[in-house]
Order: sequence, then structure tokens, then C-alpha cells
Amino acid sequence: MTARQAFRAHWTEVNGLPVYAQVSTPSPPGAQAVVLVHGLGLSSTYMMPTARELARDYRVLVPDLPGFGRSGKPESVADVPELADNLAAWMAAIGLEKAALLGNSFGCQIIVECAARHPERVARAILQGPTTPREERSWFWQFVRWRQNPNPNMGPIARRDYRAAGFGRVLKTFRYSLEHPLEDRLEQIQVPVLVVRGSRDPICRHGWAEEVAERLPRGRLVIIPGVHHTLVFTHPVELARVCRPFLAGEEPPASIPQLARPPQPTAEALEAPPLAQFDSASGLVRALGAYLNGQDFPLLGAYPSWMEPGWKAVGAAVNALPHPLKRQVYIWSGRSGAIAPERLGAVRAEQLAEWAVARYPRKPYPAAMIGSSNGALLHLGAALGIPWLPQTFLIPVRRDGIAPEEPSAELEWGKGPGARLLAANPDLILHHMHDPNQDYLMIQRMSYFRVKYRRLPQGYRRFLTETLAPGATLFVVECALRWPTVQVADRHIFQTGALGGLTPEEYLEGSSRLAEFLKRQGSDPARWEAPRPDGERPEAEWGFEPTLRQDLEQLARDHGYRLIHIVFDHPEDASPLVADFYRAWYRRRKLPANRLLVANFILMEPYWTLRTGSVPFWTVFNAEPSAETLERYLEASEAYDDICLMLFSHGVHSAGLASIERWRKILQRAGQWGAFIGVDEAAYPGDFATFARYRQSLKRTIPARYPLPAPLGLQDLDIFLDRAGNHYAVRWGNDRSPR
Amino acid sequence: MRRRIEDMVIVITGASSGIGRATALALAKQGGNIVVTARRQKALDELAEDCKALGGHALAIPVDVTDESAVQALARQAIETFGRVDVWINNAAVTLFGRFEETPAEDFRRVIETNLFGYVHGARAILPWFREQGQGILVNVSSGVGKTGQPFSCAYAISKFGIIGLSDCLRQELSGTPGIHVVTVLPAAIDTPIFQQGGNYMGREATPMEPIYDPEVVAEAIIEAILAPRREVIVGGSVRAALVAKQLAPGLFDRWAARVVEKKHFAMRHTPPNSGNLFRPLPEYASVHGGWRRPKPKPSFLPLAFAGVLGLAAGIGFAEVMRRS
Repeated sequence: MTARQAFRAHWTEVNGLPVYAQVSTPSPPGAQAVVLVHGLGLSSTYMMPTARELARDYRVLVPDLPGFGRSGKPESVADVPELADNLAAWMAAIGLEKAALLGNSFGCQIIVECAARHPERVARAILQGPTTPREERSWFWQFVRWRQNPNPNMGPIARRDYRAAGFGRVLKTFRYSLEHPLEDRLEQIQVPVLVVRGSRDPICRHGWAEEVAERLPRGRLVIIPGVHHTLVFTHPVELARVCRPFLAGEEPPASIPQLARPPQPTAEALEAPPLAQFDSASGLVRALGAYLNGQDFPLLGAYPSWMEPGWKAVGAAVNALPHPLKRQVYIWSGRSGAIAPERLGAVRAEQLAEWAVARYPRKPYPAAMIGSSNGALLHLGAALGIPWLPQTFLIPVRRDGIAPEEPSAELEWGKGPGARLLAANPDLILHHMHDPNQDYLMIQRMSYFRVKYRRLPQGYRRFLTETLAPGATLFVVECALRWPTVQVADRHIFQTGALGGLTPEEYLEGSSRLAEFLKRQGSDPARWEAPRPDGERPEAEWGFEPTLRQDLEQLARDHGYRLIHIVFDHPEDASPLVADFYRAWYRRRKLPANRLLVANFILMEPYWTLRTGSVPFWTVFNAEPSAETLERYLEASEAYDDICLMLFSHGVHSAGLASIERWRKILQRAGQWGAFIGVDEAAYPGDFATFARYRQSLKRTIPARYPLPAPLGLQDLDIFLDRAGNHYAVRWGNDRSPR
Repeated sequence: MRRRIEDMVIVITGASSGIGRATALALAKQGGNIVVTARRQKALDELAEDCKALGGHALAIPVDVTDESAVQALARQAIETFGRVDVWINNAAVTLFGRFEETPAEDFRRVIETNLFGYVHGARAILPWFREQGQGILVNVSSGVGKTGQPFSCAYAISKFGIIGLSDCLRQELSGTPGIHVVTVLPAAIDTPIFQQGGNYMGREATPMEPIYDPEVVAEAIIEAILAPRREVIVGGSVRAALVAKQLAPGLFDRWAARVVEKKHFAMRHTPPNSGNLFRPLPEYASVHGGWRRPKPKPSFLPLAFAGVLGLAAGIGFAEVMRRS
């Protein structure tokens, strides 16, 4: 570091008045000239620490503006344009054609005015703590802010300068400074400008500094952390460091800190997205995520495995409760995960996506699936070792006071919360779903808000581009299941009923089965009145919303992915295909391949399915149509020696429920033996404990153990599909699905 | 005045994943002004975005720490952007698994180049600025194995031994400038993607040994050390237990390590010989977590129990000797 440059006093006559300046000497040969412009009522004195720092590399000149410090005093007090003219005149008088100007506080206003009025004089400008934020241009605010600015050691200097200028002049200049509309001049300034703000500057507020930098055609903002308003005096070294590259004309680094702070979701919202514990989409993601991490799937992934014995005890206790109490357990377990409707505005679509991708290991995959929730294709994902990203999520919302048999009231209730959620999330479509049959207990105290992405969320895009190489395959899972619905508002749909034991017509027209069920529950079926549907739309839980295709096609084009649509009409259409695919795989590995393991809803074990060499068959729920699908499959396929069956329990004997006898009959179709996995037959469908029981029951019931196989390649799937021809009700295609 | 993260300028090397990324995010949450660096531009840009979203100010500058002039430029750029640097966190590290005599020499050398010389370059780049400022904190992230050693990760372990030495020497040289602190951080097994990314000539996939701690725990410890500088910060009870065990019975400890590391540090899954991210960064694994710590760890009391048993034995032996004498 070189020795400090000396400064000498320099007097010039401007408009008949002597003007004092401190000028560095000797200056480095050919050095650029930098003029420092002092703040309100002050003089060159407090600018000297910065002047000395810069004098190593530049010719530095620090004038006392006419009326201030040691310079002569004009009779009238100059306003901002006059001070700017004086500055330009002084530069002309000392033969300074052009210079970089650096100002502090009010000095910035003079520099801006000078650059606007005399552009030929200003090469570039540095505005350190420009005044005054628009909303604080009052005596009161400025007094408050001035008091907030700690100025160690500045007191004596400031007092001497104020006395020299005269307090009348200082106050009048202060008034002029408040009247000066700095922002209106900024757009005229064509030279590069660096705005420097101390992060703790109480006078030049952050938003204001940002606005100044933004309005300048070539403006840039730099923040020096932890310092206040009078940087030129208190932190000259740091100020000089950020100024040097700017004065040297260097371009800023590619990613300069963007200082805008986007609106922040609450910390709570950031960490835990409001997802249901026992929902299809999140359950399936947990299951596949666990599998791809080499783990099994205890407690539906809702709790860590060490809690399994505890939950088993809790479950057994709940099962033993008298009926009304047990119903309350179901009701409150649903509500416990639900979020308050007021908080829906803080939910961000992006969190859900981030949550989902965080379940999967980040590593290269040959392919990925995205779209409809489907348990059969989840097993396909396990076989191929690829992840699946859901389009639909369930956000459970707390709600009281609406009986299950009042879907119209439910629709009304959902309008406000729905609007809040959608306003904050333009990329979501809300399917407000109300099923008084299977969800009779759950919807006592919560509402089902299912949301579907219509645009590809950033979290998914990032995950896919990081884990898929060009040439990789992106499967779009498209379940074409539709349901009669009501359009409540833009992107807001209401669906009465859900896939399971009843048809859409039975929900809408009311049916004897539904009426009987409601009566059994103590509800009045006469009050049943479903809102009139105005069209059919993708089913809330399983259906695919086709708007998403656009982004996926674009993504595939941009990154060279092979896009394959997997299209089917009913969620269970894929189950026979995946079961047979597994069977063929086992046969090739010379495994027996004669054990069927029936997964139900989210009760599944992809890991143990493979370890025990079982063929997975997924059923969507515990209702009669699912039992029928399974029966049809068993009818059509080569006999299985063993059949093992998991059964979800949702707490009520809903209409269309397949009875335990019917399931038992299915098990009797097994060539050798059939067994329930983790089902308390007497308690079904109120077997609360099954979710804590199924994993260990599976391990105990099926003694076979095989090593976990390496994932199959996509070509294995292609060969299988080629051989299968049109045997299965699933269409695979590169183009959009035929519809 | 109490030090506040939001008033500080902090440079972190190796910020694209693992502890570095976790630390950057934790600092961003407190409004810190962060310069993040690593080899992977894309991962850094995304990290800078994430930091901004959390309320911090971040600047992403891609640098390979083995290139000394690039590290010098990094320091200069940080200074020119924020006016100064308060904290420099040397964190970038790679690893190499395999038997000592079976790992290729160039891979071995590369680990030392990155882990040790990377830190040397960082220290040489920032200390002149620290001296000029009269203050600054240099954080060197070492590892528990930098005190205990570890079989089949020899290059990594000796680089971590070296870092502890570097810290000690610098601390001695800087004893005349009380404003400058050198902090060594000794983490236990942390859930980061280093195990997937490391070079591997072991024939088996590497997997961290329980107990595994979250990178956020290390980030938290680093922040504490920044706010109240200490010489050494141990993160994870398992490191403390291992140090005690090694102190009490070094021979037994080494034999135990040989057995347990081979069994527990490597999965029974085959992996072909590869140099991982040693020579070129891998685009994947730009995350804080390595995905090892799922769903919940079972706390392992093995090392603790080991130390306990040894302590007990020593106590009994001592009592015996006292009784006889």
C-alpha cells in the first residue's frame, strides 16, 4: 500500500465568490478525476477519509459548495438546481471538463441535478445514500431518521460546518431538499450510476435505494452490510472497494446480488406443506420414495418405523373402543392434519412439488413418470427404478358445521377459502370434493381440497432436468376418468361424490343405497340435494388434467426427452398389466411367480412385494367395483397358488362397500391358500389398526425372501408391451392420447 | 455491539451441496450476505436464488479451489461487491474410497489438492484482506476422521489431518492480531451427497456410518462459531466418543475401526471403479442432503458404549492397582 497522498487547498472564483476545494497531489499520471460532493449543511471535511482512500488511484477534488464550509456565501440561499449549476461552473472554472461525481446524502441530489442539466460534465456517478425517500419528505420524518443515524465523531465536524454555513441557510437548504423530486430526473441520466447503500442506513431506505437504481437507465445498486448513512466518513475503505471496479468501468459480476426480497411465506408453510397423512398422492409418493431409497413402507410412510409398535398398540386400543368413540377417532385424525382456511393464502403450489421431489433420491434415472395417481403404475415405477411425480395433491382444510348430506352448503362454504388458495396459486386448479359416502367421517370436520397442477412447477422441472439425461423417457400418466362437476369459479370445481361404491348418478339423483346409508348414520336423506353439474371434468382424485401436457411437451422438446403418454379410462385398468409384467419378470428369474399380493388404496409394500417375490395387484379402494376387478382378473389369468390381500379401513359401512365375506371368497380362489394381510376381519371396515399392522403381518405371513433385483430396463417394458398387443385396456403413445 | 449475521459478508467454498449448501441457506435465513462458490455454475445459481428467497443476499461465483489464481480473484470479487469479507468458510471437499494401495495415485493426489490445497489457497487469498481489516474469521471445515483416521478413506482422512494442522499453524502465526480467528470444525458422519460423489475403488457402494447427522446441524454449529469464535467445534457426539475411545485405547480403537468401517461404511451393492466427482463435477447431487437419513435414524450407542466399557475397565483396573499398592 502506498503512502497517503497529500491534499492541498485550492481556491477558485465562481460567480464572483471564492470557492474552496481540497485537491489531491500528486495524482497518479493520467488518473481519472473524481469529485466528491458533500451533504446538507456540511463541507469537504467529513468527505476526506473517502477522498484519501480514492486518492491512491484517482485525482480527487473535494469542493465546499458556495455558501458552505470555507467557500464564500451568496446572499440568497441556493436551491438544488442552483447548487448543481454552481458545481458545474466550479468544474469549468478549474478546467475540469468531465469527472466522476461521488456524493453522500443530499450531495446525491445535487449530482443528479447536475447530470441532468450538464450531462457533458459527468462521466459517471456514485450516489451514496441518496435522499429523500418520497414518503418521508417531511420535517418530522427527517428528524426521526436523522436521530436514528449513529454518527460517532461526526458531531464536532457537523457543528462547525453548520455554524459556518449559518443555521438559516442550513434550514432553508433542507426545505429545498425536501421539495426536490429526485425521482423525476433519474430517467434523463445516461451515464452509469452506482447507488451505494449501507444496509443499516435509516435515512436512505432500502426500497428507495432500489427505486433510484431501477429508474436510472444504467443504474446498479450495491449494499454494504452493517453500516449506516454517513459511509463516506465512517467506512471509507469499504466504500472505496466497491467504487474502484465501478470507476474502472468494469462490468458487474454476472449474478450481482438481487436485493429485492420477494414476499416470504411463513416459516411454517415453508417447512411443512399441508398434506394429508392418508391421501392417495402423498401416500404413493412416500411409498415409491421409500422403495427407491432401498426401504420398506411402514405406517404408510406417515411416521418413522420405530413408532410401529407404539401405533400398533394405539390402533388396537382404538379398535377396542365402543363404536361412537371410534368414529370420533377417525373424525379427529382427519381433522388433525387439516389446515385452517385462513392459511390457504399462504400455501404455495411450489411447496407441494418440493415436498414430493424431496422424497426421491437425486440421481440419474432412465425415465420418470408424472401425472395421475395410480398404485399399479407405482409398482411399475418400482420395477423400473424410476420416480413418479403427482399432478394432484390433497390439501385437507378445517371446516365445521356442515353435515355430510349438504353438498350444496359445502360448495358455498368453499368459495371463500378456494378463492384465497387460487389467488395465491395461479398454476393450480382446485377440485373441491365432497363424498358423503366413503368420506362420511372425514368430512365431518374437514373439507377435501384437491389441487391439480396445470403448469409444471419449478421444483418438478428442476428435479427432472437434473435427473434425466437427454434421450430419457418421460411417461405422462393420464387417467381419463371423468366426473359430473360444477364450475364454481375460474379454476374452481366442485365434485359431489367420488370413485368407489356408488356411481356418479347415484350421488346426483340420490339413490336408495345412499339414502339407506345416510339413514344408518343418523343423517336425514331427505335433505340430500346435490348441486346440479354443468359438465364432466377430470375426476378430482385420479383424473388427469390435460392442460399440463403443454409444459411437458415443451420440456421434452427443450431437453430431448422421449414423451410417452400412458392413457387409460379407469385407475384399475393398469393393474392387470402391471401384475402380468411382474409375473413375466419373476418367471424369467425362475421364481415361482404364483403369489398374488393385493394392494388396496395406499396400503402397499413395493419393497416387500419384490423381496417376497409376490405379484402386485392394485385395487383403488375397498368397494364392490374393486372386488369385481380383482375377480375378473383372477378369472382371466392363470391360477395363483397363494393370494394375500391388504384392505384399507375408512371407518364406515359405506354404500357399495365390499363386505369382508366377499373378500374372503376371493381369497378362496387361491390354488393353495389365501390370507388377509394385517386385517382384523371383525373390525373391518373400522379396522383403524391395519395401517400399523400390514407391514409386519406381510413379513410374517409370507416367508419367502429373494434378493432385491436390479431395476428392469425400459426395453424390458417395450418387449412386454409388444407381446401383449391390445390385451390390456392401457394405451401407450408418443402422441397425445386419442380422445 | 452484538454481531449479527445480516451485517456480515461470508464466503463459502463447496457450496453447491451438502454442508456448504446447508450453511449458505442457514446464513441466508438470517439475512446474511453470502458469496457462494463451487465448480457447478448451475447448482450455484439455483442456490443463490434459494438464498434470496430466504431473505439473504447471495453472489454465485464458480471457482475450482485447486486453481489458486481463481481463488484470489474470488476474494477480490467478494470484497469489491460487498466492501469487505468478515468470514471465509473453507469447506470444499471431495473423497475417495478404496484400499490404500488400490486407489490410483492421481485420484489420491487430487483429493489432497482439493481438500488441503483448496483450503491453503483460500487462506492465502483472504488473510491479507483480514490483516488489512484488522479482523476476520477463517472457518476450516475438517472432520472427525481428521483426528481419528479412517481405513479405506486414506486420502480424505490425511487431508483432514492436514487441515487441522493448517488451522493450528495459522492460529499461532496470527496470535498477534486478536481480531482474526481461525476455527476448525470437526463434523461426524453427515447426511450429504459426498458418499455418492466420491471416487470409489472399493467395489462396493459407500454409505455413511450411523449415527448420521443432518447437514443443518453442522450449519448451526458454524453459525454459532461465527458469532462467538472458538478454536475447535465438534459436531456430533460420535466424534467425541471416538476421540475418548482413541485416547483410552488407541490400539483397540484402530482394530475396531478396521473391522467396523469395512462392514458398515460400504453396502453390499456393487459399484464399478470410478473417480466420481474428483476431476469433473457431477451435475446431479446438488442438494443439501444425501438421502441417507431416512426416515429417522436409530441413535447408535455403539461408540458411546465402547467408550463406556473402556472407561469402566480402566476404572476397575485403576482401583485394582490402588488396592494392591
